[in-house]
Amino acid sequence: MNHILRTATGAIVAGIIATGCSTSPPASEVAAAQTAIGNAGQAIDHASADPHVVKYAPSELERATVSMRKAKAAWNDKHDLTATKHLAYIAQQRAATAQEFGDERAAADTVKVAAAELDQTLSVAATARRSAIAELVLQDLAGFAPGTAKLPASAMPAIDELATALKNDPGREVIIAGYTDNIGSPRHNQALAMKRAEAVRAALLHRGIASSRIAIRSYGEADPASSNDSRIGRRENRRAEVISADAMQMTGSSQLSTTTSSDDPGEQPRQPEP
Amino acid sequence: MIHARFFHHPSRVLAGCLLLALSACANKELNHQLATSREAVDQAQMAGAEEAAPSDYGVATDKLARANAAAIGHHKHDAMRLAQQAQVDANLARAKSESAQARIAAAELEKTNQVLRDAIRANQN
Repeated sequence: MNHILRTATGAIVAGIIATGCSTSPPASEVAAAQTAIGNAGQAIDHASADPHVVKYAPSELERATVSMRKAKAAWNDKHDLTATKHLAYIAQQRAATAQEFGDERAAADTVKVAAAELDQTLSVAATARRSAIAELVLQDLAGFAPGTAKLPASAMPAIDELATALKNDPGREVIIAGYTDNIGSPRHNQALAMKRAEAVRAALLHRGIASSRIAIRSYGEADPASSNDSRIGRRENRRAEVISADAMQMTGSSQLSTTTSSDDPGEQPRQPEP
Repeated sequence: MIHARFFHHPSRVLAGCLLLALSACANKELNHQLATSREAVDQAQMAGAEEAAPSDYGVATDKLARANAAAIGHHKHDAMRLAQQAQVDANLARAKSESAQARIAAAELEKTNQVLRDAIRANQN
């Protein structure tokens, strides 16, 4: 009997304390809660105003909005400043993440347009012969170690020769294309292939070639030179190709395509809810 | 033998079991969150966030470490909040890294196209 009474009294006292607190939070706490909620609200508004975010990151934006609602409830219902600040922070970071997703998609759209233009140009150029420089370097820039973008020592003579040829022909420009084998995720390989192309460019810059004469692009694991089924084939695929722009016999820039691609993989799967 | 006497009463044994079950439940939730946050940090690192978004990545790893320390010290609420924040921080770091890579790829491609356009123009002249 006694302990029931004690429990009931305890609950009433706790209730009084809670009510007492909820009616008069200190002004400093009110200001802190308002700042936290205000910052999160600003981030959400900013992200919501971006069409790329609305289109490509709706679920992350929604998660931000849900956290924001919880933050407001934590303040309005309980005046729990710690919980309010925590939830507002979560909302703010999620809104910022949604913003980054949107930015990424905007850049990806640019890549699609530019890649379509480049592929069109290169397919026209493919019919033209590649220069002696391109042939020479094509043979020797393979054999990057798996997962790395460090130039293999065997490629150095070819790099030296290429640099010399470029110095002797100041009007010549080159495109360096990086490739990988099919080990690892396509996204990772895309970045790795770009780093390989960058490594070749760095070597040329080091040998005094102006950066304005060198363009790079990444094909990732696409367009393998050899089969990825064998170890030797994969080694041949871990490569960089140098194409001399001089070798391209173009008929005119009117052939360049600027069509946009409309395929839309949508939002990528992300982390589950905390 | 205070403990032994305490559990002599059947209702106290029941209450003790309930408490244990509740805390095990809370632990499971916390451990799950810690694992999820760890994974988010790992994914951010794999996406190159250490270089591309060092401050956000640093905040995430710092909070994850503090969350683990709080969990060991039985500060469950703190551990949970820190772990949740570490997760959203890591996700942001990863997203920043990926969008930066996309922007670099876009810029490089546009530069490549410019080089080609110049080359075509030069060939025409």
